[in-house]
Amino acid sequence: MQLNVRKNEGFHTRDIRNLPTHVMELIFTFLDLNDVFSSMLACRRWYSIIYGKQRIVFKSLVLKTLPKAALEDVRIVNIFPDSRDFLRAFSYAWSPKDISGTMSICSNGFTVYRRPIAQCTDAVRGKRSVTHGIHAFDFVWHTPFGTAAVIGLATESERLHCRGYDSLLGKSQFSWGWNIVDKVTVQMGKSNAYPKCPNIQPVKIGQKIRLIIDCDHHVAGFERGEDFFGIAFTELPAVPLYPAVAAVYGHSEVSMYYIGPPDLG
Amino acid sequence: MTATIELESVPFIQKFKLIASDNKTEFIIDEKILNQSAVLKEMMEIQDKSDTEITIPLNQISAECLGNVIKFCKHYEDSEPYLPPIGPTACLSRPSQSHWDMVFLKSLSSKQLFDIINAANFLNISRLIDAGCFRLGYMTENRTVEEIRRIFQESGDFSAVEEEQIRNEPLWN
Repeated sequence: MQLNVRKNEGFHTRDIRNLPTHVMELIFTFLDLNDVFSSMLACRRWYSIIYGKQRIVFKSLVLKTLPKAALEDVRIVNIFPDSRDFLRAFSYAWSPKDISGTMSICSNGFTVYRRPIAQCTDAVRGKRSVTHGIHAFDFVWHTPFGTAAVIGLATESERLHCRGYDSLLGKSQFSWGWNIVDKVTVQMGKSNAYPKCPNIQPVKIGQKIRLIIDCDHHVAGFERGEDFFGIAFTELPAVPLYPAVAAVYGHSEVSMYYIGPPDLG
Repeated sequence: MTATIELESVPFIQKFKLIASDNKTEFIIDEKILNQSAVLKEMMEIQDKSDTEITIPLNQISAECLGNVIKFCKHYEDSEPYLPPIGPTACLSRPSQSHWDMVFLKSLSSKQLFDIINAANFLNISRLIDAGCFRLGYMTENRTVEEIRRIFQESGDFSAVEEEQIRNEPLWN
């Protein structure tokens, strides 16, 4: 009599494989980033549950990982409808450790602040570098620019502080900068007009400027809204490149948001 | 042979007889335990009261597992109804490892634990579902991928290339 062998199959569990998806999801919401990462690699099913459409697990990670000030700032929250992108952007945000002594990171974790110190220029790098693929970073300058406001890229060897009011980024072989005040790119100490087209309106306070880096083609450029300003930097080396800004103005505040691969059009 | 485990013996209140999947093992319980299961509570709300016990066959739940479920609910029979943590900060609070729920679930084998969570899900006992998930969370905490696979008997079904890709996603480490 073998007929009863299959009775109750599908409910009686020998292991976790039969736990319902929503229960698994609940378990993962109790874990921190490292544990979610380990669980994600355990098997395909877990991976797909963690990356579930509702992003419930990522929502819980965002709540646990991100600063309260960022979660309460509607302007920041609205940039990232997908919790996974929000979490990722935070992992790329300004580094509290890789920063000029004159600067500090605001409580939201995404904005850098420069104290009013005269006769020096200060810079900050992001926490993570890029080495391959295409990446987009959005920058917003919330305060007046002063005589130099520079957005660009730096290797980890570039200094983050110098005397005088300077563009800093682009003055050595370790960095590349676009001074939005003078409308020039600086590469190996040489300045070039940028954007090349002279009719383009200058960057305004609060405007979102996007830096796009194509590591595989060793180039980078900027865009504002729909306007692509053209290639800004060429022959970028195949080394880890960090997004960076340099500022001279007292009380400068600059935010950076990692967007991921941009929509190319 | 019928094994009856009497867990409640106060007279004059409605009794329920739960029968486990072996069709033999019976558990006599009262409303205080029954009502912790949203499923059974709803079922009984449309049932007429009876002088005798109301029999509920639960042929999906093993005797051992049902015993554990009832042991858990018995602990909470005089507690306020459980309100699951809700809202955006629900995931931030959790019971300590020394909480009764955690100690109780820790005493179970892995199989018993998975069974009890499944049964809790089936009967919709939210306190037990949450407790089970917290316990599994503790079991996952600070483990390597290999340890997690061993504990949960998951076979790593990613290819080496896929695993490498996931590890390199710009979100982790």
